[in-house]
Amino acid sequence: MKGYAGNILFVNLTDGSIKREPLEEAVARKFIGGTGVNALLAYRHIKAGIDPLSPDNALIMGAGPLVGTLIPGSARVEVTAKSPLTGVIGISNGGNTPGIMLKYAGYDHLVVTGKADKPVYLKIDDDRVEICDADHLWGKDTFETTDALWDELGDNFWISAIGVAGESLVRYALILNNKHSAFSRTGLGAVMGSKNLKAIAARGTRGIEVADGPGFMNLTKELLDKVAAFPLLKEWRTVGFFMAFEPYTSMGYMLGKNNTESAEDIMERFPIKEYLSRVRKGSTSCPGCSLGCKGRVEMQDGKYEGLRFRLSTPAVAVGAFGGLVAVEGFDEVMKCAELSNRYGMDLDSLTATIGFAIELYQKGILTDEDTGGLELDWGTETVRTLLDRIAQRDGFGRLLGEGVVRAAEEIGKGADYYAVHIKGMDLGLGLRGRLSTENFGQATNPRGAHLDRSPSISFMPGRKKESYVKYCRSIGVPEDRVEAVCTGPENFNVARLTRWVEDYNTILFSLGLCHRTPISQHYNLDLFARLYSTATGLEMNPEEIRQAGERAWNLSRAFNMREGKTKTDDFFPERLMKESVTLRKGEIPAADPEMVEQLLNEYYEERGWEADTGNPGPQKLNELGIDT
Amino acid sequence: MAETMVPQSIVTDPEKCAGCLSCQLICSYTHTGRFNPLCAYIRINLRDDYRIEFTEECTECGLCVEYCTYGALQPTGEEE
Ligand code: SF4
Ligand code: SF4
Ligand code: SF4
Repeated sequence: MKGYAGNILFVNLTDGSIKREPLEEAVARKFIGGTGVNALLAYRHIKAGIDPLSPDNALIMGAGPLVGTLIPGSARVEVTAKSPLTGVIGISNGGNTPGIMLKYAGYDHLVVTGKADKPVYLKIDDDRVEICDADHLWGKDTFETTDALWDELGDNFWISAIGVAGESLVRYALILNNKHSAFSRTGLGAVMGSKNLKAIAARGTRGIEVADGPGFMNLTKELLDKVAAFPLLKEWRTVGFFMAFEPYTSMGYMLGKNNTESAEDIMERFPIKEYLSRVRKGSTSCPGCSLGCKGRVEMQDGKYEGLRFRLSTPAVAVGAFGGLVAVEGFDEVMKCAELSNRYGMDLDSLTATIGFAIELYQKGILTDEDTGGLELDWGTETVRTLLDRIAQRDGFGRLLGEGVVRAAEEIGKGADYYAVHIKGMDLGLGLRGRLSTENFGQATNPRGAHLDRSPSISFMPGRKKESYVKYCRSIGVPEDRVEAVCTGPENFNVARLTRWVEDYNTILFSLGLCHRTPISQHYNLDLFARLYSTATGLEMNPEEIRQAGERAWNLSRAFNMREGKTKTDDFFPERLMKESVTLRKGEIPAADPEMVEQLLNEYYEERGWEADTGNPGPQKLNELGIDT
Repeated sequence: MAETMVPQSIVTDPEKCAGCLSCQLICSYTHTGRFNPLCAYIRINLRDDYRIEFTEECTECGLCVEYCTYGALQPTGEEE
């Protein structure tokens, strides 16, 4: 089996045992790699009902069969565990991570279980795997930890580190890679913290061989040419995700102040011209990517003149800090982004939690007594204070480090209504108004409200039926389902289309590719099959590849069902089904609960899941050859 | 570890380097048959400033220049 490194590395921090097992061809064929094999390992190694912050949880890192090659966007590595934030399957995907070095060292997957009795870091240097003392690193932030390890081991080790927030078990703590690329979501930094695992350092020099070199390089060149010819390449490289602000805000997908008001003024408050002249110094890219959508921040003047760091998505930092909690100006937003990366906290969940607290305080649900005398208001001052306190779980920061769902439970007094989340994960995109697969998919994503598994051509309105039919064929919708998927006022049924888009994107991630449109638009199911066979030498037809995606999706769902989840956990947040929101062009009404129920029913039907629970059930799992 | 050298035919501009490692990937693939950045004849140091160095094994074949789409590697005399 080429393309793969061929091994899974198991490390038990309780007894210090380290073992290698081969990645079996049958598993590779059934689950492809990355997301898929991670789902299988999670299902096998994490028992139902365990405490995610206990030694029983497993932290699983997986690099798919294309990771580490020159295929555009082939850098995406996934980490999976039971999430301390949501209690369901926790998944986080990153680009510039030791997962790539892990693969060059000979391992496609790493499974860390148990708990060390004192701080340690894991060192993987080709065949030499060691659990090393990390007493000297504990208490350091992610940047300091990484620098210290680079000083110690040499700077060709790639480093995943947690900061103070991971140590203090903030439930949305992140893992920061090489000082900029994050496994941000679902609190997997806290899983490392709970294991006393401060960092993972990896270096690999075995490299990756592909089965059909000339064939693989021909496909690589074709794809590189397509990315180079993409008309908006330069804009994506310089402006990055700011490109999406206009459609996101005008459709009401991106909102301010705990999702209560329009964020349409964000581009006026954060002008692109200023970003390019004062904030952004250059591009940063994931390995093997010719797009380079990430940023290199270097403040040219002002209060934080000279502040320099690399940041995955500066626009997301602006949307989160500038929008959700109304931090003023680029200077303060970039300082907040740097601090949250140093402390190691996911800035999306962080700002969602802070916004939730500010709103509760202003409504009188939280009082000075609860906050320890802190007056909470929108803007920089409150955010900077809370950022420090949350990371250290100091005073009122302890409560907010629990995330919105647990904090709401503790606060009581109807606070849960203001916690805007699905399955415990704060909302990524608005759900009122027009639904595309991207925002609707937040309801059905196993890791909770997140949109990266469901982007599709449905995001932009106004496409003809022929476009949808063509698109459906390109992602593997069977002929007998195309008509049912491509119907409706906009020529698609959002629930039914979401099902197929999820299967397809699960393959994208399982192979190790990037979901950003300028990259992902050049792929299709046939191409996945050709890339897979030229890289690995294993022949799989497009339908077999698609089914592997479906299998991984169902297994992740089965993981959640085992944790007691059911149909109500797929519903939109209550608040979004009760309150409208006002944009410049007018009001967007609340989502209609009956419509949501109808969509979920259609989605379950399209998936072949049980109608009243959304459970895949034994028959479906059997059909997919999943042995639970 | 191999000694470094300064190629005559390539000009580097680390300020423009995005750390995409395409140069190392194409170099290692072409000269060793494997995608293996740490065995490439060009080194990119991902620590802070993305320093660029060449090892003395470099044949100046120019492939890394061809695959660098960020302008950090350019043929001598053609740099911007
Ligand atoms: S498009 Fe951006 S996030 Fe995706 S692989 Fe390239 S640099 Fe990384
Ligand atoms: S010029 Fe050729 S041999 Fe030298 S570093 Fe570049 S690709 Fe490698
Ligand atoms: S290809 Fe260019 S931008 Fe990419 S790492 Fe090499 S020198 Fe830097």
